Amino acid sequence: MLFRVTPDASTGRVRVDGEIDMAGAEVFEQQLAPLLADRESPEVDMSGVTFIDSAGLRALYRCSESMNGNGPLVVVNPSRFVASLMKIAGFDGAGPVVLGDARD
Amino acid sequence: VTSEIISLGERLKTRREELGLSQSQAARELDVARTAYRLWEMEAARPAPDRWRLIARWLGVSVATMLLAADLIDDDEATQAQTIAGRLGAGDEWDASVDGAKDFFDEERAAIDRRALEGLVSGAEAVQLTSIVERLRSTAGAPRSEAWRRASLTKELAVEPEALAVSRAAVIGVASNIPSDRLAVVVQLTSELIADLIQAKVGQDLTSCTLAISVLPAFVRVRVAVPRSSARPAHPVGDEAGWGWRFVTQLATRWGAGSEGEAYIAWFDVDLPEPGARPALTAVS
Repeated sequence: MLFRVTPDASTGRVRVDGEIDMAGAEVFEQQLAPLLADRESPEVDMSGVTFIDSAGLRALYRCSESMNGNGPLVVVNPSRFVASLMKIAGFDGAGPVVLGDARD
Repeated sequence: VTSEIISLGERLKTRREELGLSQSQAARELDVARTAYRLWEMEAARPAPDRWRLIARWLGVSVATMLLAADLIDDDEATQAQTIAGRLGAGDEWDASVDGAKDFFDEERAAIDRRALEGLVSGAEAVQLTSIVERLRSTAGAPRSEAWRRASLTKELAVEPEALAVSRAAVIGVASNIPSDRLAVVVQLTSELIADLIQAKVGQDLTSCTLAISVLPAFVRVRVAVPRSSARPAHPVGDEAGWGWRFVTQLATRWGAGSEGEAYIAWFDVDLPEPGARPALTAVS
């Protein structure tokens, strides 16, 4: 697998590292969704994500839909490029996935 | 892998030596200053458009071949132009009959329009040729000596999820010297095109595709081709497009999809900045 999903006890966030594409999107969703399910303000730290495609972003969106009404799901520290993809996908508004701070 | 291309400088030098001429004599035959000719041979400068036809004739090649040698068009564009010319029975689709130092681009556009009206080229072919001419118009002045390193790769890929990472590695291998913000876009969109094929594969006899990556001085072009019989119609725009195609349409400089001969092609171009210019960020408002 080209990515890793780990809960970070110190920040309360879930950290994602690596590359997420269509080949791994389903597993990504299966790993991430349970870690977000019971959090009131779920945050995903994507500072370690070097690539994510439309299937990966769709998986992120589906995770947000399975959070038992909590949310929105906040994505923090994506690269500028990943942040630009998320904006194109419509994640910068008032939807279930919103964009937090991007890194340089 | 594409065949080796003989550069314009090399062609000029070889031809000059065949004719037993000095650089000054060759410069006189091509009606330019000796210094300019010397720079062409050294590939430190490219000829201006008003010399293209004359140089091609002097070299004994088509204008398309001359433009390919000068890094002004890529293999695909040269092939398109030559194929159309071959079918017309003309020596050169870039209108070798038109002489001289008039505006090359306006004349070519007029010639293409004329042939389309006469039914000698199809509407789609006319659009292809016109787009090549228009791109040439915008890039003809770029100095070759500072251009991005030319490179290309053609690779057969199985239409399987594993091909996604392979395609990204292929892009990085071929285009690693372009600015990182542009490389990120090319990697992203290439992976999206392959992912689109994997999705399209469901219920169809689609096993492999051809990925072609070309890094040219002014832009990077990526084409993905599959046999037409095995592919679904393209949905590059509209509700069915999904985010992948939305990325293509918003981040690529030019893009397209459709049938071409016996293949279904999806492609995009990402323009490169002038070398030395401050890299532009991929801005999305």
